[in-house]
Amino acid sequence: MTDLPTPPVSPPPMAHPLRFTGSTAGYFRLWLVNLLLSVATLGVWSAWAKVRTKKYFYGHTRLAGSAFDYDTTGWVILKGRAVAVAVIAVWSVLTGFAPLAALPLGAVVFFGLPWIINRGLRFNARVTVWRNVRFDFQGSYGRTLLYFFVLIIPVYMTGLLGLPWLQRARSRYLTESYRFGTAPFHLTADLGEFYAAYLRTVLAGVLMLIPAIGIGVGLAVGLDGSTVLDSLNSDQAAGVTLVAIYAGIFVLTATVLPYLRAQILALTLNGTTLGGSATGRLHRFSCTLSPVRYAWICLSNLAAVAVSLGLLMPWATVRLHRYTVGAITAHAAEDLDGFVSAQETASGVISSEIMDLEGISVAL
Amino acid sequence: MPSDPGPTVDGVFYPAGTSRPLAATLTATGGTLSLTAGGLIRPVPDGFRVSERLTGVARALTLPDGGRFVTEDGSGFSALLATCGHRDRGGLMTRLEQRGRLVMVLLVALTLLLVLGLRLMIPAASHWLAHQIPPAIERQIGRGTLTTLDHGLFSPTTLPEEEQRRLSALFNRLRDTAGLPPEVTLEFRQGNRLKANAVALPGGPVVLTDEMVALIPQDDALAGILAHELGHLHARHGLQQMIRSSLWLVSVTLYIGDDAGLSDLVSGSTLALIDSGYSRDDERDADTYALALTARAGFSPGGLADALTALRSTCRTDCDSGSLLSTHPGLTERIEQARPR
Repeated sequence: MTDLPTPPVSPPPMAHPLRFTGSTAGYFRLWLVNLLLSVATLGVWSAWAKVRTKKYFYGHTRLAGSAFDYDTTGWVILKGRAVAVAVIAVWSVLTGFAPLAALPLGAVVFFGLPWIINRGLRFNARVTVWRNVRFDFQGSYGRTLLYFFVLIIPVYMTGLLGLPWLQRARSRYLTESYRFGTAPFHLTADLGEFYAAYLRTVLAGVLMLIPAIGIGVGLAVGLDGSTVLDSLNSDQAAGVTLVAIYAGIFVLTATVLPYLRAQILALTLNGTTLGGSATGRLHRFSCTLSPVRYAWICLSNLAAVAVSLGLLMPWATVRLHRYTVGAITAHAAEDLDGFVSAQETASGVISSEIMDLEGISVAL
Repeated sequence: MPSDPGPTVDGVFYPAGTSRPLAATLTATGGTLSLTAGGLIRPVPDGFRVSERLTGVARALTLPDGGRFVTEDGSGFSALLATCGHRDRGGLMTRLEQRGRLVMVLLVALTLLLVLGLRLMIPAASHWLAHQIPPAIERQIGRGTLTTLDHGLFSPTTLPEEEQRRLSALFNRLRDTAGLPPEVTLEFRQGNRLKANAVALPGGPVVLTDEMVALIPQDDALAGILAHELGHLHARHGLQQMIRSSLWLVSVTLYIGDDAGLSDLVSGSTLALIDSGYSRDDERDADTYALALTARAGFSPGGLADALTALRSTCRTDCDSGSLLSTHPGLTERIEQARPR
């Protein structure tokens, strides 16, 4: 075996690159079977499908020779999902049929969401295992409310000038709320670098806008079957312009947002340390993700999935995951044998499923 | 001493809640499992958990006390579990995953079956549901739609009051002949982008555009158009179409919902394609109804055909295509059908 106990001499910091050992063909087969069973069971299987998908990606992601695990079962996810669907259904009916209740219900969402987010993140962390040690998330209600809801208002009032600052505050809060076993994470990140990332993104957005609109117009005209705008009547021309604007916005968000996301991920990981070693030395991480390459992968993935009517989805997912994982390295200050799990059970699956179904993603 | 040591699997053991690996061996002797780790042999007590099988992923056996045995030898692990009579979780999935072509064929067949099933069920369900909705609520929906259209599409009519009264009287004569309630009224609007058009909103108001009145001055022809709209109201087509499209939308998003934004890309055009077949049937039904109604109300039988001919003359392209996506059948076909014989 690769991981025999090492002699307890304090070694120099050792680089452990993260590796993805899965394959496109392997995931395609798993995805296809999941799709078949989900269709055949009217969607019930999707809970097991989620677990098998997560297990595939976690189990093929290896650090220092050991794989991660997504340690829960389809039953747990199904029960959580059932309650989540019921909650969302009741919610939609209430807002749809009792417009008068919109204000108090809005308040319930505003003040309830931080709680749901915390529980959801905690569930996802606690079912994540590496070498028999679980992750944990210990965010507080007040700080989630503050960083994800309340502070948005003053940031808008500054004309979004405060957004990089808020992003750093969120990254730091999230990072420092995570634990690996009992070991805490810590984030040191320069505020200037966050501003630089946003500035680069805005510039890239402006540069992208021109060709994006060009492509949009080209697409719209091409789809309409004619080549000359003049031959269209005013209604059709208006339609073409509208489609062009939508296509422009679409291409813009599909490239610029991933471009920003990659920078924030790299900034966060490069500034993250993990404590908990006996000697007090810190493990650290590095991330060499190229934002341009990451954005290109996201955009070309989207195009491939759309053109193939979804058949290339597994290829796209593996491609992005492989690139991201391959760019991350853990620098261990000493051997990785000394972590200890906190004795906690993984509750909060309902919140995790509500976040999933409603598309709430709070991630680094 | 156990005389015959059974099959073994090598791996790593992590004591409960630690990341410290110990070289370990899992052994099945006479149907019971035991674990050798750190120089200690211990029986594996009942209540252990086994991670499910996935191609290329390490297998884990978790003891009730939280200790975890992990092995890269997946096939050895499966074989060892089998000798102890333990069900190998995920075994069926793994085997299915090796039969890609079979899965693909089943998937295509099942999808076709589902679409066919829905194509039969959804129109029937919409028809039934539309007739369960009380007329008062249907009228409310129609009024709501009119308000929305007034904000975005229509502008107030420019027809003289007298002309409006005359046309309303004509409309009421048709409505009373049809046996529809007096709440069904005629509204006048400038159509703008809709041009020469008439629209039957659920439960009541039929909207006639000024452009239509200008295009078709003859009462008999206009009566044909209005009777066609009354045909839609009589069969509650508008409501059925609303219910139908929401049922399709729900079914489609239920299926491809959770994977990315794919449903947004596909659903709009697919739904239009699926639904256009029914709308064309609705139009033919309304035409047939209009022919009978105008005859009963004493209008000239060629009215509808004349109106459709006038509409065809304003049409630039695509009037006769009756293409897959269009909601109305080709105009020439409809004129043929509407000609008195």
